[in-house]
Amino acid sequence: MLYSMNDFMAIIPEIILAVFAIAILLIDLWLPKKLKGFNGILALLGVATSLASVIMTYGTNQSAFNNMFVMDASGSFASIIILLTTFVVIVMSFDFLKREDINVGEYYEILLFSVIAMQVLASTYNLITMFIAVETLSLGMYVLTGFLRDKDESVEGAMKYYILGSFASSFLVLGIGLMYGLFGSVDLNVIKSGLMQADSFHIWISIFAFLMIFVGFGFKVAAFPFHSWTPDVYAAAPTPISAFMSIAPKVASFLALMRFLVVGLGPIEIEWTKVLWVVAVLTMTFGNTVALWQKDLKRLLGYSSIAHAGYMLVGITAANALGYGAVMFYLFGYLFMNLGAFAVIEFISSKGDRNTEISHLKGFGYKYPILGAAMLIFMFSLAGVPPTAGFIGKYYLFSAAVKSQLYYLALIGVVNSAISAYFYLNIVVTMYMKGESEESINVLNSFPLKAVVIFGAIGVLYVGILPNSFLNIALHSIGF
Amino acid sequence: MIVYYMIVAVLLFAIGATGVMIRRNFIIVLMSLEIMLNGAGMLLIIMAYYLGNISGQVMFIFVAAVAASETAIGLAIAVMMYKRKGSLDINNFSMLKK
Repeated sequence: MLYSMNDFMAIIPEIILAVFAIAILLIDLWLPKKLKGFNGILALLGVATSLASVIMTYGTNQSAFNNMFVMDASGSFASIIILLTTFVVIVMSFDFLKREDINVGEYYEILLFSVIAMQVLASTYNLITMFIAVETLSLGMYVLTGFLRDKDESVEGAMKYYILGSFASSFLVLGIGLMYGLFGSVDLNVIKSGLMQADSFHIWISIFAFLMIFVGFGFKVAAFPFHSWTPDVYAAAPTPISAFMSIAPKVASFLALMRFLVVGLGPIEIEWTKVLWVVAVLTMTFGNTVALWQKDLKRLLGYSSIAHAGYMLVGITAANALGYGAVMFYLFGYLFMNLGAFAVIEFISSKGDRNTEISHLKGFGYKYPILGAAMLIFMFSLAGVPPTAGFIGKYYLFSAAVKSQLYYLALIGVVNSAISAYFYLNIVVTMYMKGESEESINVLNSFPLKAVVIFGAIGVLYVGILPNSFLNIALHSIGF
Repeated sequence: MIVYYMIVAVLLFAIGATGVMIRRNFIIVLMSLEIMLNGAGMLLIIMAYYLGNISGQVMFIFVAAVAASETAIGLAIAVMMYKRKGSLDINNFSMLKK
């Protein structure tokens, strides 16, 4: 069992990130307090190098380490989304960390190690590798959630996330144990061929195991019965980390979930689509309904991210290639709108990551015309108004459902996006039509942050108006 | 025979899950989470024994390593909680439910 050089060639993007993460940890020791910003630059450099190596090897198909790791177009596409998110989040973090006085190397180091785990999660057909990747990325997220140590809410958010996250991942191990007992392997291709010739007893047990594993993944993507951590953790975590959590772990988890369902459980597709149908409907409806009453922007985006996970589950429920590609494309567009919206929230927040209520946006559109216009674009995109990335993404998700004759599901999805328009547009109304805010807004006036907002707005519009090239990449990346 | 072993594993898992849900002290919750993971890990070992296949035992080593690092983070969170409130009672931490 020797590994060849080729095996290591397949994980070069991960190796690059690991080298940079360790380098940050060591260099941080000798950096004087004034120069701590260098850590961020180093992290940016690592992410950019890794991104370049993913793009250069895009399209190669290779399995490495005895099929424990695969390198394929879908994994690379997910890696690109994850690394792009990380890049933007690091840029968002620069002045935030300085203001909160937590400008330490560990922040970037833990972030990069989580990213490695996400890349691994996005490129494996092996359940035990998936489990380790899910756990490694969660461990980083627990720490980063509690990074504002002097704030009670942050500690509480980390604790809740930790308890519920570990609870869910225990179910993941139980499900993997059952799958292993049934088919003698945790490789999804072996499970598939085992299921093809299984008797009804094996099929029932494997449905039970599927439900257990779905608890683990459903927790990570914030699907309905396992969503309860989302608003609390988004409100508690430092704003750049909330932005990161709303995209990067979801990309990896959705791709891993699709691999598990489509490749591993392909033979029992009829059964799992039924479960996903119910979960998708409940997730969308719950997220959108509860968001109607939210007053805090970060909590609101937490519920909104539950609702968006519901839309993406629609694409998986459709169980056709268009649906899987549409999920990846939607996540790509979601990157721009959500990062932009969180950047605006970070802009209006004051020290201690406080004052993120919607009412603080009163008069925002007149005081900061460009940022206000960008926020307007993000809200329209989240609500799914053309010509934005959100509209195109939803269009393909729901048309995939229609293609599989799931008319009611598509209808419920459309009704849900109509409901969501209420609370997204409410933010726009607050920005432009509710007069001036009584207390002066104490903003985080930083150039990188503004650049992120502009980048997000341009991305949303570009993907919304000229989606073809990205759509083709997303649709063709799906190889299962 | 294998059924009895499996019952033990599932019982361990259930004990852990009950502990997480009803106990209010964070350290006890940490212990319960560990019991859950070990119950699930035990299933892997039982299945490896039943199938005569070593890979399940190797997987348990992975699971145990993950469980250890998870507990390390849990204890760090416990220290943070104690510094903030001087107590580890979960009920004292409920500011976020607005």
